[in-house]
Amino acid sequence: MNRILGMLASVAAAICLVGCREEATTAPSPGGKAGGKAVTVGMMPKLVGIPYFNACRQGAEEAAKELGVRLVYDGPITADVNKQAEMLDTWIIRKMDVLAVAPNDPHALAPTLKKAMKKGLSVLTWDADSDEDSRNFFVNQATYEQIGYALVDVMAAEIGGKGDVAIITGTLTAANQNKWMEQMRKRIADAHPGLNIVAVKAPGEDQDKAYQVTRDLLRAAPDLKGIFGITSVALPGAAKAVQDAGMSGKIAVTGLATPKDMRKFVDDGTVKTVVLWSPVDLGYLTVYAARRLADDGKLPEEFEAGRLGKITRVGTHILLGPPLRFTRENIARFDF
Amino acid sequence: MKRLLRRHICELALLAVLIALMGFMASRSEHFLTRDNLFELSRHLAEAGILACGMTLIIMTGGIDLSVGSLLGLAGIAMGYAWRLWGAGAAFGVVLTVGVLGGALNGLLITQAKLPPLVVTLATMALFRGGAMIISRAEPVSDFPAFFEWFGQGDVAGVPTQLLLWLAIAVVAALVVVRTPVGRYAAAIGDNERAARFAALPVQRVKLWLYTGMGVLCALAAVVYTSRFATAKADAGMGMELQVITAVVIGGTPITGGRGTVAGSFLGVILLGIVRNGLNLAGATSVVQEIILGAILIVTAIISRRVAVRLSRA
Repeated sequence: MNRILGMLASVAAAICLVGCREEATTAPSPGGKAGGKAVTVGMMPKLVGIPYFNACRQGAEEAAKELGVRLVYDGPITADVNKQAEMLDTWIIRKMDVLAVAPNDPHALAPTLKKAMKKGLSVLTWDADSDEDSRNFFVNQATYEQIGYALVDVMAAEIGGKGDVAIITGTLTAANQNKWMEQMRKRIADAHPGLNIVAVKAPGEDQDKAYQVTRDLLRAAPDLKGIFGITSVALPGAAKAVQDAGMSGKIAVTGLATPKDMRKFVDDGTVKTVVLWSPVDLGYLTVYAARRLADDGKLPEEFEAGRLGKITRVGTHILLGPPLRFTRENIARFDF
Repeated sequence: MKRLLRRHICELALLAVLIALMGFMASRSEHFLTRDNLFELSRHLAEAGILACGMTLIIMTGGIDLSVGSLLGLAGIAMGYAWRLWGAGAAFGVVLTVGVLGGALNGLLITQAKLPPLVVTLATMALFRGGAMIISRAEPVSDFPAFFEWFGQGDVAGVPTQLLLWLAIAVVAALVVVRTPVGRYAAAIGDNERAARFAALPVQRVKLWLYTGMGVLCALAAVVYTSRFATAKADAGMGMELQVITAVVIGGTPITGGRGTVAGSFLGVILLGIVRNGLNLAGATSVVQEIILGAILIVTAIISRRVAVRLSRA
């Protein structure tokens, strides 16, 4: 008994020692100084462990290396705003220069972000926004309008402009997902009134739940013509459900997800078009913007972002660019 | 003095583990043992800490309450909407009422319908959360006036408000356990419910009071939580029940009941918080944190158990 106890204790201690070193993913290099000291950027996704955010991390690390910035990239393992707040509090205490956060809730994280700003840290939001007065700038992948419109246009083209459709989203509190849906409804009203949204489901950032919810939906709404999966786990979950139900090609499936995840569904025709932007570029841009913000204390209306060239700022939004569409023709080219 | 020490050996062992962990965390980061950090940490723990006080008594009776997180969410969102419709006074009234009713529902189902607490609170966990989602249609309420932020973000003479609230509740709960008949009855019920009933103890009444009281604590925690985020949201408190129960069990209250320690639960909540906080400051990633937390829980549980076994043999 004592031996087991001792073993467990030493394993725990060993993990602690190792685990506590695994942090800074990029060490500062001579080019990374702003006013004499290395710039530290704390970048937090909604959650870690899903391919979309892994791709963002890839871009962020690329930019951090180019700029010599010390990047700390971490987030909770579930899309929980409480855990984000906890982690951010410790980052504030560690006095990072810039916090770049993708909040799980636009209002709930605001007090924590405001606290950071009061303590002199610069705050960026990316992927999803928070209250306007709780951050300096928001790095947006494309305008909500561009994304919503693209999704609806793709669906309308596939189902011939008329029919019942359903939306599978992530969580009902995510600002970006809600804004996209708002724009989708607008586009339907303006340009494709024949589309009729019969259901909106929010199984959380969980692919298995998205799968189950879609399965149930297919049974409950037999007249369904199309399904939108507007998160990077909802779309593959929904596509698999359609595939397993043997309805590939009979129901149009589209949405937002990484091309790598969707490749097999696009190859077999379950999904014809996937809409996204490059999350790698999003992460890359975020770090560039963060560095510029740390150096100058503000962002000009146009600034250079490495291999992305000139990036424009519209008000407090920094735009990556219009969304990309992945189809059978081009999907093999992307490895995220 | 020696008797006092022996009686509380469980809590002292936990305290020793806690101090050791704090020392370790301090060595990993210079920011850990700062007043700023520890006070901020206490803000994150206060809600779970308040709930743990009530949970201790419930677990002492051999029962359990899985619905606390959901009731917190329901009470919070009800408060938010009540505030928007009728103002501050109504809001506070509503949150307490919802807490009392929710807790009483649990209590009645357990005592009158004679259903097992696990089953009842599992059901109400879903019921309350669903209720919260329906009321809000998943839209959060954020238009609270600035003074409301005092509960979750403000302080009294530099000490976070919720920390003082938590301490006050913990002291009351500890006194209830140690000095009042309710505490003794709760332990007796957990130890052997039939014997307690034959001894003419008011078993049903005690249980009803404890679950209703838990509901009140959920309401208080909901006020703190909502104030801390300046937002009433339907998914508030999700998963908190697990954190609370873990803390209580780590604290030395056996899950089967029969005895309990509020001080232990208090230390348990802090232990869980310290680990996460210290690891965050030291730079351990989320994934690593989960592993370490699990390992520490196992070690602490084993130590706790061995001490308890030694106690019962002595």
